[in-house]
Amino acid sequence: MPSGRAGRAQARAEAVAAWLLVAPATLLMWLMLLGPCVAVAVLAATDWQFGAPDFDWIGFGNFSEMAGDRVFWRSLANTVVYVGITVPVSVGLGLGIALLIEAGTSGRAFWRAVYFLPVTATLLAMALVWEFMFHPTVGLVNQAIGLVGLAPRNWLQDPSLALPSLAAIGIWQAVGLNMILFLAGLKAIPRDLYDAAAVDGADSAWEKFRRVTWPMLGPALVFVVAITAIRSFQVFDTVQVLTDGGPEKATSVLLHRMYQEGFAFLRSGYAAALTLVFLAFTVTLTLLQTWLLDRRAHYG
Amino acid sequence: MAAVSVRQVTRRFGAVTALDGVSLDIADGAFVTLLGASGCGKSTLLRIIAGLDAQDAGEIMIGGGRVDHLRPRARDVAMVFQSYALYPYMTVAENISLPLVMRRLSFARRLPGIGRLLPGSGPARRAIWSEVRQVADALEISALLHRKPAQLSGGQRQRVALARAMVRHPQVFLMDEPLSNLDARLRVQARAEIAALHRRLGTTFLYVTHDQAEAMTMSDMVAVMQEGRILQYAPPQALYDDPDSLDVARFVGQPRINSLAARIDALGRVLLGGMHTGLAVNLPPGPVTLAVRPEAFRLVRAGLPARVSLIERLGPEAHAHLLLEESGETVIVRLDPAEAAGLALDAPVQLRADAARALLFDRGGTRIRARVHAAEALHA
Amino acid sequence: MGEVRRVEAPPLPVPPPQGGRGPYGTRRHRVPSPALGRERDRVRAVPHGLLPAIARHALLALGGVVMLAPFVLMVSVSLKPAHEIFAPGFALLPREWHAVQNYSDAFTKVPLARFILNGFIVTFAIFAAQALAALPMAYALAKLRFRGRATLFAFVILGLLIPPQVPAIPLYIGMWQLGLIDTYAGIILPSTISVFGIFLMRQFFRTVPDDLIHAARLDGLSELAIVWRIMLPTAMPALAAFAVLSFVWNWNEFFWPLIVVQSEHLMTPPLGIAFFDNAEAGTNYGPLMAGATAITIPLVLAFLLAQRRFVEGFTMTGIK
Repeated sequence: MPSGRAGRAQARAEAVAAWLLVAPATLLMWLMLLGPCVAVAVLAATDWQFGAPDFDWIGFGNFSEMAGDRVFWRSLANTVVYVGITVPVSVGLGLGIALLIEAGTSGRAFWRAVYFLPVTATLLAMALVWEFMFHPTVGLVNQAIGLVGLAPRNWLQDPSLALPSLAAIGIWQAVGLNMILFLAGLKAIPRDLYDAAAVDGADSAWEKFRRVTWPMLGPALVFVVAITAIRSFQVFDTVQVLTDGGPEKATSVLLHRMYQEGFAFLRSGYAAALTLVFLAFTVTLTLLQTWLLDRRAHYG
Repeated sequence: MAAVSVRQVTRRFGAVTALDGVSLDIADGAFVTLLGASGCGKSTLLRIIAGLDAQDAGEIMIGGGRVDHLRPRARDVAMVFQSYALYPYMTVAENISLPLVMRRLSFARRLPGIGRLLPGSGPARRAIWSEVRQVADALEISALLHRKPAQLSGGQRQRVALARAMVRHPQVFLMDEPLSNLDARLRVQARAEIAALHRRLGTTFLYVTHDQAEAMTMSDMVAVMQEGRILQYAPPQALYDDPDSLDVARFVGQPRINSLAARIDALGRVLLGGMHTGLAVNLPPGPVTLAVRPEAFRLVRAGLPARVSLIERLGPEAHAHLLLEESGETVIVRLDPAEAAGLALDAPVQLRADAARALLFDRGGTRIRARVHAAEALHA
Repeated sequence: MGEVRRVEAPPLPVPPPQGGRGPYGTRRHRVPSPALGRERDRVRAVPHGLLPAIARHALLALGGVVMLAPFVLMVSVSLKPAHEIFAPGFALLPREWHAVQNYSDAFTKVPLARFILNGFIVTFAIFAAQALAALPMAYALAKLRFRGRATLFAFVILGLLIPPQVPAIPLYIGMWQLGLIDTYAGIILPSTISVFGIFLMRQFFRTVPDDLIHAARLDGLSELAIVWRIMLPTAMPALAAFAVLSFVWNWNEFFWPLIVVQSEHLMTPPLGIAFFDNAEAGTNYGPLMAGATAITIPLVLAFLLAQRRFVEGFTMTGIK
């Protein structure tokens, strides 16, 4: 560290330069991200309607309305169910595909590209394709299950099938991302461990997986589960365009409610309160992930 | 304990031949080292013997039986890896016990959780635990049994790797450069401990290294390898005193042997810079290489003229780098501190070599076993 | 390994000579000759063989079909006339090629070309702004010392916790006040800050040796010049990967453009295709799929050409 008069002058010059460098990004960060979050918290305590000239401070009023709003609870439950379906299936499939790809040496780049393609595609465009695939009469899905003798269904219009159908689309897109994250995790496992396991007698696929692969993938697993959960919590595009929350609120999810209240019904205060609930869930998920990974790192 | 036989083993990776018809016979209970630079094929051979890789041609026999079609677990070998390959998420005790768990407990008894509840699982596990304790006591790592590898020092990890290998009482110990991750001081101690371990156990040890000091100090026999072939397979001292090729002579011995350009004249005498070395061979005239160990030189009053270009004083001895006036080659000579004390840079000296200890190699690097003439030594 | 000690170590459990009984009464294991080897031990050391490879590819192909089916279907439908689309049975290729009509319909019924152009405009502008703001900040956070650095970084981490949809309502209000609703600026501005980009670049910059920067300072470069001339070239791989992420994310972004865009001519690709879907009352699948294909192609092409960068970019979300 520089010391003395010249040193202090230099340190000050460095600080000035630093603040100049961070100024644009910091300003943008406060204007576009952190500031609005504070604003959301403030708004949530009001009953302001968009465009209205004045408003009232209602403290926790929005939250008590939420507590009594059946649609809110339905959308929260739907979101949890959606996450509950999407996460295990897409993480499990992602892991399975990654293991299959890594198990051999031929065609790795090819299969990786095949499974990753859905991740890059525009979800909305593909959602419309899926809508066509789910079509009750000419849809591919019904035709395919017809081959095995099952009856066709109206996937997106049936209240009990609509949410799982949307989950299927979500899973379809998430598998590729999970796969490459697991591939990176698998590559990081030292080959030596498998050799040592083979010499020790653990050379069957199950034993190798149990003794080496699974424990070493621990951190990757926590990470993949967390980001899949957080991403699927943010489900919106498919709901908005394919079902608009229906049929009968069967696919109403948290973000969709927030959009409707805030931008269709223009109830900014209430929508802000919904946003806070949404934020609370995602922050909890992230912190949980960090805590789990930290624990693993420290206690080995 | 078992003898290991390698017969004409070949292994190719694409266009590269890692092992080229290698044959080796390792006696039961011997400590044999595969010595060579990186890429010479020594680790490949070790892995093939272990069963972690399969040869393209040739046979491996352990204890008199062919093992080529057996998995590593069935070959009854144990291996210590360069990186130790300890399972990071298991405790030291679990690491050491894994080979026994895999061998003694059935699939059902190994299942997580419910496996322990099955009858017979308890006594088997207790037996395993006591064996683990025995080995840990022998290697003095009992206090570490409940720690994870990340919490251990390099030397401790190495002992855990050894314990894991020992607990199985294998017929052959395979070691792939186990000391290269230790710092120099630890390495010397570890060498002695491994050698002592070998004496106590009496099991066959097959050791791979690029460090000639390890090979020399620990082994009964050393196989010097280069580019997929064994150059020479002999006891360490024989490699030093009586190498078959220039490559072997250069590989063994620190500082490196001095190789000088010499010539056979019409009378079969070996001349160095025009002077008779005292060696004669029954070969047509032509160029040869004369190799002399640093300690086989002496400073005399009349001999080969040279100039001091560098003196390295190491304490118990000194290495003098001498520039030969005639040929311009530099030789390294080992001297007592007393002899070296009087030397200064650029001082002129006269050299003489002990003809009996000089080694002669032909143009291709193969050893020529020459005859020494009377007591004539290297001098003008 | 500890000091060399003169004390004798405890005796090792030495196994008895070959063929006897082992220390626990078990038969001393002897390597069997091939005739006696257990069947399951006879497997070759290196897993190989045609059967496992076929099984592996078959399984992957099964999943692969599901992954690729929507793409194939999308293109297939975009080539067919309406009566073939709704005909029973499934055929990959149309009997009557309707491609020209479908695609020209897609481009005329809605300004599809405009949507795609908007996609490029918006993603480039956003990435340019992100890079311009993030790189200097990442450098300052990584290499410069100043009071408040730790707090500033803490805010960046805090920002990472916040999903992008959370600031939407106040941002909308703010844009409305400023008259930026339904403008390019309105679409672009909120995404110009990428805390993830700042975080990523900072991690990367930290690995650059300090000496490099000292040498640059001695050569007279200002801090800003150091960012652009020294740090940027070193960080190219990370920046490229981030560019990929930014491009994909912002091309596909739907939530914010849905809120802030009201006029057709400003719609980004996802908005455009949703608008098309609405406008066509959902039965004119041919042109709709043609439109969907058109807006997906830039991304798919980019992916196929720069696969490694894509994978790197997405894998970097794992480096935390």
